[in-house]
Amino acid sequence: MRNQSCTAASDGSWTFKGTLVNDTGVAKTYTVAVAVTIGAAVQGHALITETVQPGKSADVSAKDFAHTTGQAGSCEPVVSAEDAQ
Amino acid sequence: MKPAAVVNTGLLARRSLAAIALLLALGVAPLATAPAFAEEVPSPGAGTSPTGEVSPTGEVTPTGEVSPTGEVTPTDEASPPAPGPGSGSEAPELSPSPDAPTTLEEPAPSEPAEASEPPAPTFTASGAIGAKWLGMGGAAGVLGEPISKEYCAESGLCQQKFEGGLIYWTGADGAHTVLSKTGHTGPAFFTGGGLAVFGYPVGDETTVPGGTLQKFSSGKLLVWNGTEVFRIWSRGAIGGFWAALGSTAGLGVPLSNETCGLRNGGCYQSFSRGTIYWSPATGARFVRGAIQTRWKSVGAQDSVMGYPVTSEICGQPASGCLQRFQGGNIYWSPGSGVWVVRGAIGGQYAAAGANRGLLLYPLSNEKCAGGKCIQNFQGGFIGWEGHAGTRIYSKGTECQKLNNGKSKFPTYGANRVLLTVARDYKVSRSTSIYCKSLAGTYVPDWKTDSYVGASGFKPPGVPSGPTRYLFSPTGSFSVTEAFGLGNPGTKLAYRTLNPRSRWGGNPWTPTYNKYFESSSWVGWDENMWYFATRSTHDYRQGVVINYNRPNIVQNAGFAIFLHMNKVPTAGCISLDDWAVLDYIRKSAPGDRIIMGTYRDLFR
Repeated sequence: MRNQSCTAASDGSWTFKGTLVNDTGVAKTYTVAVAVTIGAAVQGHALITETVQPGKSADVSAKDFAHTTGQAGSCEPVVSAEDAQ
Repeated sequence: MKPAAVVNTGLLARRSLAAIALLLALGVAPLATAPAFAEEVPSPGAGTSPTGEVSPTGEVTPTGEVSPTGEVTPTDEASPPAPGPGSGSEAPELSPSPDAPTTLEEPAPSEPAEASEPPAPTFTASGAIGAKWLGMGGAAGVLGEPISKEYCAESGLCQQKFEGGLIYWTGADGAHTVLSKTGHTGPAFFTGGGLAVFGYPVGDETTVPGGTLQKFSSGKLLVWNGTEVFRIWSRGAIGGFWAALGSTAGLGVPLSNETCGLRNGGCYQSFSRGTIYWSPATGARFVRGAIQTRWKSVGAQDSVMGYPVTSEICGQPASGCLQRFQGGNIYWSPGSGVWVVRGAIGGQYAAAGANRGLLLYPLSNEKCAGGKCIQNFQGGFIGWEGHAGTRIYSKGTECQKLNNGKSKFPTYGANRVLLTVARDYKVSRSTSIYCKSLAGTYVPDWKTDSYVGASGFKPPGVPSGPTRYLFSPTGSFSVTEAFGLGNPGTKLAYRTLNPRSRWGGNPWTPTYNKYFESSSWVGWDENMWYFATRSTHDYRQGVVINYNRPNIVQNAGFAIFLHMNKVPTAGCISLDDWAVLDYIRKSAPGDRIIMGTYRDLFR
């Protein structure tokens, strides 16, 4: 994942963006899980699945996947990859 | 030579008749001294009679020394200066002649018989024996009339028979009585083998605390305990030890004879205030009171405890006593009772200072079950777990409340119980104590800080509700399964997570509060993979707490886990990584987690 960002708008809506880069020799299916939490409470989450061919990249994003009061919160994506079917 | 005896008849014929009658009364024992007899009866030493010296040949010199008490006769008839009890030695050679002085004979097993027909001759007593007789009341006393003349052996031992017993005399020990009709030790002397067994008396039967006692030249003592007469072999290990302890003033009077044939060649003798045990390996030691009772309750010398290697050692802290045995020690104190400490636990106890250390005194014997043992001490527990060895456990944790009925929630006999306790409602910070059962007693394996739901605990019986409210449930919950990114080794069912691992959080769906797999992440479901792999790795390793499962109440709460990332949670218990790993490795199905506020968990 490169160039990732996860930001809250002034209205408390969260947007995630990033670029998946497959620098392996086989097609990969990437799963990006992203959640916004305040403490232990999950304010919202998104799951993005994208298959990327070898040597290619793909931009992914999730808009308005979480809402908070104000811009406080912690956003963290987790990426997992599997060989594409 | 003077006449052999002072008799009040002066008639040779009557003397002969009396001698015959006496031999009959004595059972006509062999006149020659039997080897056994010679061995059994210690020589009284230089045979100086009180009234006449005995020559090396056994003859009494007519001009011998006068008895301290002088000549004594029960009659008024004058008699020549008495040579004393040595008169019988006048004819030391053994002769069957009834007229001749006889050798010292073993008294008949029963009381001395009365001479009957023809009319019994009368005898008198003189010298030291006579003085003794008079001192005991003469013919009117317990001895009654003399029924033989005095007989002396070459050894210097003289004796004279009376209606009520015998008086023996030696130069070394003087004259002493063995009563046959009265008293207690005298009759036992006769029935027990008499002179051949006991030797001659070196004292009279005397009153001692608890009975009477008489000492004999063989070293044997006969002691009457108020009910029965028993022997003490004062030259043996047990009798010698009894004497060293103060005789009757120490362990009291005997309640048995010495009995041998115990394990490893041991012997014992019971006394009114204790029992002396002897074995070749341990020597003579006494056991008594509560320690003896405890020792016997665990099998005494036939058990692993074996024989005592010390006697009771009192003067211990808290007015306690201890006694060491071949296989362990027994401790007693007024505040703790009497208990055995042995084996590996005993070794740990000793290393910790035993009763002088922080553990103080034992409060139980060790208990063992399932290959584990534990022993309760005033200051803690010592546990033993086979290859893991021994360990001292504190009583100062909440695990003890699982033992003493102060837990409001049951353990259901769980081998391990994690107590997670917050001091109050609305408090997320908590303490977790991992308790393990050793033979049914819970002890702390470890104790650490932890967190529960950020909103704290709900009261008992109140659902914790959706995780978004961040409450933890109160109660006693089982654990049966664990999860994470790789099995660290556990007896629990273990599920390795993958990117599709989910835990249902959407009520009124089939997956609510259950594990399932999906390529989507919907609503309140938990993406377990996400929480396992995000930077705080909450679910890298975790355990399912069976709250609201397997019987699931919709919307009552879900995904209550024990997991890593020690921060306030959405209802779970969070611990340091090491604690979660250790918990998983040691847990087994059926273990329980009891969680809640202190007041809700404990009485």
